[in-house]
Amino acid sequence: MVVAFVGGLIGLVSGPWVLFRVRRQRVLLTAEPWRSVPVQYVEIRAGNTKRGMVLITENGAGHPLSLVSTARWNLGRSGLRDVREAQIVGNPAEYVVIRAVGSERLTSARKPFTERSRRRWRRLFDDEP
Amino acid sequence: MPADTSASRGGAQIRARCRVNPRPEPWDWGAVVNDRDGRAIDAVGVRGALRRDRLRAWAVAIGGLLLFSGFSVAANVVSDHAEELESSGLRVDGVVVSYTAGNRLTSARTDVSFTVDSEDRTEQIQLNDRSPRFTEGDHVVVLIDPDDHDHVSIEGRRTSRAGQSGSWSSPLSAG
Repeated sequence: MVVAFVGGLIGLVSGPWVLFRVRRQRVLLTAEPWRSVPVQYVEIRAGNTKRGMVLITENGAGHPLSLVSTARWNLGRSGLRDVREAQIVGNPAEYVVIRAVGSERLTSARKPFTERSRRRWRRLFDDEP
Repeated sequence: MPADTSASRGGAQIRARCRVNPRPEPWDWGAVVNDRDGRAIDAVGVRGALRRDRLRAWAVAIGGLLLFSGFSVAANVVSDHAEELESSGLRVDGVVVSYTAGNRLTSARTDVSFTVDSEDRTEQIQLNDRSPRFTEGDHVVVLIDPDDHDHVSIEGRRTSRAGQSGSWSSPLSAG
């Protein structure tokens, strides 16, 4: 019963959540072409899980973004771990759909909500070799 | 650029106050990847990926709905059964043998000994968060299902009916 209660709640929340995300991706993908941009990728610990972060550099500006609702076990499947260049759709200062070159898996990435987060996320990549 | 209306000034003030990043200027195109007619959705595999994600999301949502419906039905059945036991169960005197307080992960439970059909029995009974705290030696009234003597409860264990306030915890810990 507890499994049905907890699992049901998770399904009822995460299902529509993903549907909205797919719809948002579709709007962007319909409106714009893919663009190739240099990316850096790191994973940080976030509580009991991991979060993927990308730094997209376009027109000389670096935009730190967080991968949206990607489970820890799906981070590797995004194919972003090992690439230096990826394809994006959308405004890297806001929200993008990103995929590794040659990969069919679509991932969303969003900007930090606060200036403090932006500075913190940016530092993650400054520390990278 | 949007006109500098009072609405956009208000939005900027709210964002500044909330320390939300200001909206960026429109960006220039980077190196555009040539796909058939320029739309990203027409690139190879994109439509398929979107379809897969959408199907998976529907499956998760429908699965969640089914699970939650199952929980609601089961909770009602358990609640009805407990109610029935309160109204028509056999009542015998029992004594609390031990009491284990609940925590975040497990509910409280108590061992109660009683005699039914000249047979001494000790049963563990799950409690809910509205049940009173028992101490060893407390006298309680044990409710026994006349058709199934293995189904026992104690009077006052269930203090709320399903559908009333605080009803979630009771079905979760009942049974």
